[in-house]
Amino acid sequence: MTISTPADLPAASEAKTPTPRALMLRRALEHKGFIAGVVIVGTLILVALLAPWLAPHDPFAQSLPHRLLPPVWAEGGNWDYLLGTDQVGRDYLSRLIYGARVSLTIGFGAALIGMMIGVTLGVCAGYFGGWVDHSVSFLLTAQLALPGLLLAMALVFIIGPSVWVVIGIIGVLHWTYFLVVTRSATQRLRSQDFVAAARAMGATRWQILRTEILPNLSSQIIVIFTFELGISILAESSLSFLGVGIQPPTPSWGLMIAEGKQALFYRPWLVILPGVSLFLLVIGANLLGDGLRDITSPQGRN
Amino acid sequence: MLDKRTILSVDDLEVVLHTAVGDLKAVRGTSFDLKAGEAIGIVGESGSGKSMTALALMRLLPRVARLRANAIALDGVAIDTANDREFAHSIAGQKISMIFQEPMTSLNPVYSIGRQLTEAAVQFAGLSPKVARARAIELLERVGIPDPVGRLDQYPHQLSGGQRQRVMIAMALMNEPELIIADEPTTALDVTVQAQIMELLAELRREFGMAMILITHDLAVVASTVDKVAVMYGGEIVEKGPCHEVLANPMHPYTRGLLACVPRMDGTPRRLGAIPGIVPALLGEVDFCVFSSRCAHVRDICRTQRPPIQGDGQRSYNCILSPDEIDTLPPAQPNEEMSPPMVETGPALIEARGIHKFYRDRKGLFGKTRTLHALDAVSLQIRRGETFALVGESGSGKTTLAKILLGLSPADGGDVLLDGEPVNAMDARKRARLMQPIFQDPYSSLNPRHTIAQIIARPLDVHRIGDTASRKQAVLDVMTRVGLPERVLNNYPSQMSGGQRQRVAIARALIMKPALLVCDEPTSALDVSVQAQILNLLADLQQDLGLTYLLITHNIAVVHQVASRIAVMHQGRIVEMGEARKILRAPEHDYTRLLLSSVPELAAAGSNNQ
Repeated sequence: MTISTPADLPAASEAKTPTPRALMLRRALEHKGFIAGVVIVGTLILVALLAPWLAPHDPFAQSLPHRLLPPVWAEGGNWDYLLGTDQVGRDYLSRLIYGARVSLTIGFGAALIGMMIGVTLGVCAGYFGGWVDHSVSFLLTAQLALPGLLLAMALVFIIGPSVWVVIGIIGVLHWTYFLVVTRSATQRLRSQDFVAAARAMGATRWQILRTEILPNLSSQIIVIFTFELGISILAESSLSFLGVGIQPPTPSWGLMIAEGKQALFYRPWLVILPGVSLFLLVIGANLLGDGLRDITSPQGRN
Repeated sequence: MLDKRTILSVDDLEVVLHTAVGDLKAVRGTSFDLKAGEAIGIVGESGSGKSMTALALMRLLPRVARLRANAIALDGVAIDTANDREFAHSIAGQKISMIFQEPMTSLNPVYSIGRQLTEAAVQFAGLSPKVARARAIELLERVGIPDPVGRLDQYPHQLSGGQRQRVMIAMALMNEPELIIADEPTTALDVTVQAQIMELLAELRREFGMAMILITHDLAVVASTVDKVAVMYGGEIVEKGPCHEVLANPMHPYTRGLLACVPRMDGTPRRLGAIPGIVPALLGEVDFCVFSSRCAHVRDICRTQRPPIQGDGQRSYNCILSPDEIDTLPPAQPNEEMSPPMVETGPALIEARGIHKFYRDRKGLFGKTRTLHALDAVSLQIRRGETFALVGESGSGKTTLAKILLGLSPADGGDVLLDGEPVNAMDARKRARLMQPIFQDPYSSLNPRHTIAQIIARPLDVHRIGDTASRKQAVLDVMTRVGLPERVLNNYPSQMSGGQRQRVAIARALIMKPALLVCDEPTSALDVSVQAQILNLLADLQQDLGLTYLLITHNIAVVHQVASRIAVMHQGRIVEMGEARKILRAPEHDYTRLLLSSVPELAAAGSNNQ
């Protein structure tokens, strides 16, 4: 007897199915939010990378005769200093451009650290359950009970402020969302039959976590990552604003807002410009994350 | 029957779904009439539009759907013209009631049974709370719920699935509707409960003189409950008529094919018929026969022209073939007899000895621990080459046993020997080469993030067998075996139909060339025609590769089709075990008898209604 007569074969779906990559590309090009996110975040990354070439002035060079110049479009502005200067006469555009470096490094660095901690703990808690879950949940409760900003301030104060310390501390304090989301998603995945099938084929725990669980968490992780990216940048701003983050004269958007606040009422641009940059980056990161989720989700593969 | 008034008349009903890829007509030109006290069964596979028809009548369609009809009249009054507010106030729940498939989710868990039963009657029908409560008690009693007064203050979670469905039925009856729509009312229930619920519905229908629309994929359920039947395919009614006539003498090639796919309980099992292909998604205008892409008797004209409607108002079918031509068609089911391999002697491939399993559960930190004895001294032996079926209802412990046999969960007592070795102490690789599982739900057994090629090659990957080229060759070989075309290699599971997915799961299990396949309800998530394809495939694979199967199922007809020996499980114990033919013909244990008598049979149609 033959195995399956041709008539037994499942019929072809009506149209020939394009390759998954082509489908993903098509969805990416159709997704307006994703494109906007890519453009915003991509531009900011480029600006940060090319800062030495793009910046018209040295961001650290003070020039007291030119202090507190308004932007070019305001009364008294001039074309030498497109966005004006700050209290000690440093070119504001150059500082914004260099500030992108600090803000992006901190955003990506801290979100990455948070992701490592949160996803590791979340996947372990979700997959192994039992006492592992209990301990991780205790850790989570403890973390949530601590006032984050206060703790960060205390830590920076004790260790001493530098870009890397700030990244580390913000990262170590921002893993709770990763944990909560990956834990519950892993719990759901663990009971799926494809995990049981992997166990029945003799896969080790590590193999199961790496190839069965993690790929299915990717869309959630991406969304939380871009969300935390924005949060970390804002956290840096708060720390810098409070004087325990990035130390002057290093340009950082948060610090610039902090420095600008004294002149807020008669030179509002000092606060608005870095504020707008920050806003753009956070919006861009979130659009990018949501777009990535929509594009890569297997539901979209239908 | 002719003098009875027409309760429901539906003329040219159409439901259009606006999807991203275009307009999809989920229901096209559906017309039927229903007289007082009459029951119609709407039968079809998933995607045929049967549920859409029901939802359209109740105005419960999803938001992307648009409804159009020449006329829908309830008891002579047009209801398609009523606005949504009028409809909700005076028709839904008053004149038409609906019973849903999932009793677990169709009751609101935060309200008491009593409140849910009486709410609509008090709100819309103007009953006083006292009268409504009295009626609720009366109805609960009528649908066979013990202690109805006490039940009124209970919450849905305190009731079993069968009881919840009874409550749903009581709720549907509260306002004495003229029409009840039951959408797969027993699909989520055990077979013994299914029998009780169907009987209850039939009794109530006679007693209250209601009309009923029964929507189901299960032809056997239809056979024993309704007066007439409409077979739907691709959004159209392709054949309708009195139930016993349609089932005993089907005209449309689809109905003929569908009936040939149903495993029967009588006589020797024969190879099941197969309808090739899957239900097509029909976008845009359909100016051809919907079944033409899968029809074995297709002609050129079927692909360019709508088929004529043949027959009269009572009995009709949409096909180009005349009744005489249909008479001369070869039977849709092959005459080939199936004989499950009987293995009388030889050592056991897998053996369970006195397996115990307890589930402990404690309410809160200081609560009492409750222990559930899920498996109680279960012993069985499966010999190489046979098909051993483990039969039981939900909660009987059959899936727990399967997990223990597979080594996926530890037993609390007893041992499992696979090829003479304890399964827990065995090397994972060796175990995987001897035994592989196939799960019930092909939607959850394949990792949605992996391509088909990755999924099938995964066992080789895990055990680092072969290189890229040899793995690919192995994948292609096994795909040919299970009847998967090469072009799906790079598909993701979400791009495949349920039947194709189950083939992928079988291919993945076969790639390690195991001796034993543990199939946990391998077809219960699939349509009848796909079930037939998979059952045929499993039989062929067994013949060619000498596989041993452990089949875990609640479906007695499937057991009759493929099993050599069976064990009947009830409340964690094996109550009867032996040769399949003997037990199915002459059961000895009371529970087995109950189980067998509850199985709805296609053959019942002829005897009941003629």
